Amino acid sequence: MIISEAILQQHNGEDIAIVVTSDGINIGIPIDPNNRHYQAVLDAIIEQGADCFANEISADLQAAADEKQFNQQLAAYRTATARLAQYVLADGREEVREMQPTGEQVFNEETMEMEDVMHEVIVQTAIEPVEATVTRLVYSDDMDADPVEETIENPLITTDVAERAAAQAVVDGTPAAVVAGDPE
Amino acid sequence: MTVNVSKPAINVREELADLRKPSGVAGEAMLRADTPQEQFNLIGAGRRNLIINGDMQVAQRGTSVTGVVTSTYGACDRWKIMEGSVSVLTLSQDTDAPDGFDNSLKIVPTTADSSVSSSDYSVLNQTIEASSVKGAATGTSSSRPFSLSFWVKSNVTGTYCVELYVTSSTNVSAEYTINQAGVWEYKTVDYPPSQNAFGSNNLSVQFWLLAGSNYSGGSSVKRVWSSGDNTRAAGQVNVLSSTSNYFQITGVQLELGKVATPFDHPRSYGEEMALCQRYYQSVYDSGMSAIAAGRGASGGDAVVVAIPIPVALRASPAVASSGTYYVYDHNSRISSTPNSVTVSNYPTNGTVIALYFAFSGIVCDDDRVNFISSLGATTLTLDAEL
Repeated sequence: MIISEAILQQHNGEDIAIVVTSDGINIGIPIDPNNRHYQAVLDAIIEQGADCFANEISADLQAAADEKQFNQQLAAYRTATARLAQYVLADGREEVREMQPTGEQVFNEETMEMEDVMHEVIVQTAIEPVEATVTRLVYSDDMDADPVEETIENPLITTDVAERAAAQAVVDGTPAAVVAGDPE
Repeated sequence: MTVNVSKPAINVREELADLRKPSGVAGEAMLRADTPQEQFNLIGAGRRNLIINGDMQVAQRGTSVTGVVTSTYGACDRWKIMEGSVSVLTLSQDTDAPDGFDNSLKIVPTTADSSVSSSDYSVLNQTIEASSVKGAATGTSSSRPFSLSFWVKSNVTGTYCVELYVTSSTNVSAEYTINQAGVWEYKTVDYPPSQNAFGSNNLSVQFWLLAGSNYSGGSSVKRVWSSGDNTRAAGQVNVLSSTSNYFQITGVQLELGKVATPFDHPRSYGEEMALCQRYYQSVYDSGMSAIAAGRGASGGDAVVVAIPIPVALRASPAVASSGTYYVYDHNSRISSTPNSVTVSNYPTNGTVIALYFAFSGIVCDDDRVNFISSLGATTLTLDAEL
């Protein structure tokens, strides 16, 4: 639904609904976060600001739109940081080991205390980098010509780099207030 | 030392006869089931289909909608087209259907999108409320798989994608193939259990029709719950590439379990309609001049009317109104088109809704009973869709 010329309707001084007209049909939208039309109005305010309303937006409605935008940006920020936390395909991943208790204990006669028996555990397996390049055969329009071998960047790396760049752009474009509001 | 062991005699002939019981493989599985729950699951007892109006029989909004260029509910109830391409679509409830069904949902591009840009998409969606999929026990060790079955027909053969979508980081896609142009084909796909809990998020079933590289540019990762947007529709054909193309679907069933069972036909038209009315209701339609009583409000230019509704709505609805009403005072009747019709009050799970009809230039005394009735081609609908 395209929101324009919306009107905030009041009764006895209270906002009771948002009225929009779409294809000649009058739609009365309740001020209820569970209503999809109400969510569409908030999206329109995020996108167009107050311009989508014929009269003024109430402070409550603007606050609801601001909160929705904050949550959207926060969700996008978290998705992007999670993507950046994944290993770089071209670099691969190193193995990580750490000492962990086995669950058994032994008595240390020197300290006169029970001590955990430790063993080394692989907490992150190593992953080899993918091949930097791949070769492919390129055929020309000339049916008699032999195909030419061409070496290109591995498409997996190309995709990885593009996705990481897109994620980085999201992180860079996230307002500081949203980053500061992320408890994770 | 000698030990004597005595065992009861076994009649070998009887034991062999037991092995020949005519119970079949399914019967044996029932006999081997350890618990009533296991038997319940084996026979697919209870209401199985999580999809509402999977056989496309209910169409409260009318049997077709044209000029679709954005997300729109139209034709068959509960089904929404999410349109984000240059295509313009017509959706219709069609009487062409496979044996055992009366209707299908047909999608036709009246403007094609043959040059798909990266962010283009077109998806047929039905969203299921979170409360309806609690039985999947997602995010637990008991999490259950889903299976989806449907009948489909198109003139465009090839690979199609259909996904379960919860959030941008929790979705799973599967492929199916339309092998023959213009022939109804029955398809089943299954999805593994989700280790991520859905929580309060709704679950959407989404049939892809067109996918830009943002959704299809990644490698084809199917039947794995993933977080990658660009793998969701990898390999998807473009159904909207020509105005000669079409896509038809019916008999859609999403159920818990790895094996798809036959369509849940015992659900009657009345039951299906009631399920749809939780999300959308048509109160007044053309030519229906039913009268409703209310009271004057707002100094005389508004009437608040309480209207009984057959099924409690999911949430407070958006009210769409067009046309003219008669407004009756104690000794007069005038016709007027309301400036707006909005919800005055709707209690959670209520079966009566109070609507606020705001007019201009009429006088309805606050202390008197007023009546309204729809006039001519008046329509009034309540929309609480997801």
